Amino acid sequence: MEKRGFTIVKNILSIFFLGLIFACSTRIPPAVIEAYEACQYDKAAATLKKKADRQDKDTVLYQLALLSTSMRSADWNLMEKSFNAASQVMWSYAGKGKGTASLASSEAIKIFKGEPFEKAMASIYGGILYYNRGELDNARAAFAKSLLAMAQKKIENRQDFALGYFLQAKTFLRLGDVDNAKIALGKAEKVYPYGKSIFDLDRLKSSNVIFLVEVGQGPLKKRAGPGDSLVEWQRRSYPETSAVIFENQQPLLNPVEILDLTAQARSKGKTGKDTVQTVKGVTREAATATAIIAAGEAAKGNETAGWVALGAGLFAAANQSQADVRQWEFLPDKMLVSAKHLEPGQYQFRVRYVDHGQSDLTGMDQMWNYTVTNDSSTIFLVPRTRCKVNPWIGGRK
Amino acid sequence: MKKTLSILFLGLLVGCVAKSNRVGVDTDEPFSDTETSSKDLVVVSEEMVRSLLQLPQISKATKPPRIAFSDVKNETNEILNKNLFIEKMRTLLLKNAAGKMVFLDREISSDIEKERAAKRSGSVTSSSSKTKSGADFFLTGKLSSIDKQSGGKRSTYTRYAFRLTDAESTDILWEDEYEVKKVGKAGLYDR
Repeated sequence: MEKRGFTIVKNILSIFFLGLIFACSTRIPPAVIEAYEACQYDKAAATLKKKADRQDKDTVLYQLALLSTSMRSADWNLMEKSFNAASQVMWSYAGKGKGTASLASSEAIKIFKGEPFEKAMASIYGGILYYNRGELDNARAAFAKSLLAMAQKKIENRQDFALGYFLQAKTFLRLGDVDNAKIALGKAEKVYPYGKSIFDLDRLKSSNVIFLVEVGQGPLKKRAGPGDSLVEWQRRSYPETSAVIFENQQPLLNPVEILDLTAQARSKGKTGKDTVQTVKGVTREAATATAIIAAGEAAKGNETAGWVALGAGLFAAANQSQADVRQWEFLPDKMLVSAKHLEPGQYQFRVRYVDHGQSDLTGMDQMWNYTVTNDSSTIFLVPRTRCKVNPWIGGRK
Repeated sequence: MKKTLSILFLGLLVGCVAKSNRVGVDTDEPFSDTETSSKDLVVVSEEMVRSLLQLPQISKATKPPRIAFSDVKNETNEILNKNLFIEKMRTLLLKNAAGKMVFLDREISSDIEKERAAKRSGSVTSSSSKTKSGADFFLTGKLSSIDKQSGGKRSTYTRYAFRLTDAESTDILWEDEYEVKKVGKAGLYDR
């Protein structure tokens, strides 16, 4: 009888192990992250392309990583391709079968489409590319999409994406739609009331360079709650708190905050899916406890307890409650913004990051040359990296 | 137990096999969202062409009018190839009403300029010289939308409007529209 009880426990453990394999959320391979951080963007892109081409449930995860990688390596064609490929799935209703199954089994088996803030950020990057290429209709559409993505959040937080409103306003102004620009700026100002000068309509209208400065590393998606069934977003630590923009060695601008992605991630609110996940988590924990207690009884020779242990164990194994923690790894935590009108001519810009004590953070400077012409209007996206990158998205390599 | 696990594994593997099917261009994708689809492109273009061919300035013209494109304005919230509709309309018109109108190819005008210059300089052969045609009409359009999203629910109203404008007088000779409203709801798992 003891042998029989042992066999039952062994089987339960096997099923648990199997279940754990199925429950694993896909992560970007560490080698890709290492290559990305070591400025080996082509190497990172090669692996990501292969994985994205598989067209499986994780395609969007890899396409978003590819979007970031190609943006750093100034491969604008690849950037546009990965943006479009990711958007197509993120905004579709694809994967109903896997999605429904994920409610009963592991959440990570569903097609990854990103959180509202991830969808919004993809649209922001895509919009910047179109803006700098002069495709203003597409830029406006992309910035509008970033705001639509936020409408998936709980009702009181749906209009808090100031970055989307700001960039939409600038695009409206370039398209001659002053009324809508004013409305969009008003909404941005509600989120960041201190940014009055940034949200001034006339100032934004006359500006021909916009600096977006990325700060920190995006929030970390972690499991929490009963049976690890829910998600919580943790702000990562990083040394820089602000930045100063220099022009020809002279301080030019002090950009102000316009985006906080940790706050965005946390403000989604509870959904029906969270309720299902919680129920799964609670029942899984109960089933696991039952299986362990019953297995103990079975080992003492109680045959009924053996069957109970088996049933509870199978239920716990099938009911994979662990939350899906797939996430876009290469996002910043915050973004700062500044806009200015510059007379035509040659400029050398430098962005210097500073820490809490306003001390320079060496090694993180970004420096680039740019020629302002009579009709130029450019958004620079300055990444937080120790690598030398081109902040002129869509511009020359 | 081993057998059960093997069957379970096999079932999962079968579900992972990739597949692709050829479907008609006028069908909506099974995973479709609320945005413009190939079905919209086909339906809109066909309707517009039917409507345009009823215009007396075209159907009763003694000399085929010359038509040039002017960029379509995309005011929707989706990123799309905005000239796809008028290009599809041109194809349908040329296929079904050849000789009733002439389309001017302004897309390759720089190539044409170079070729003309080469011909006139004698660096390439030339059979005859012609004056470049001017447009009698401009065909253009505007795509607009109203999008609403609330939680997992989304609706998109899209209006596809096209017009033919006299290239001399700016008179709008013809305009027609097609409206579509699509609603979608994300599954519980996608919220």
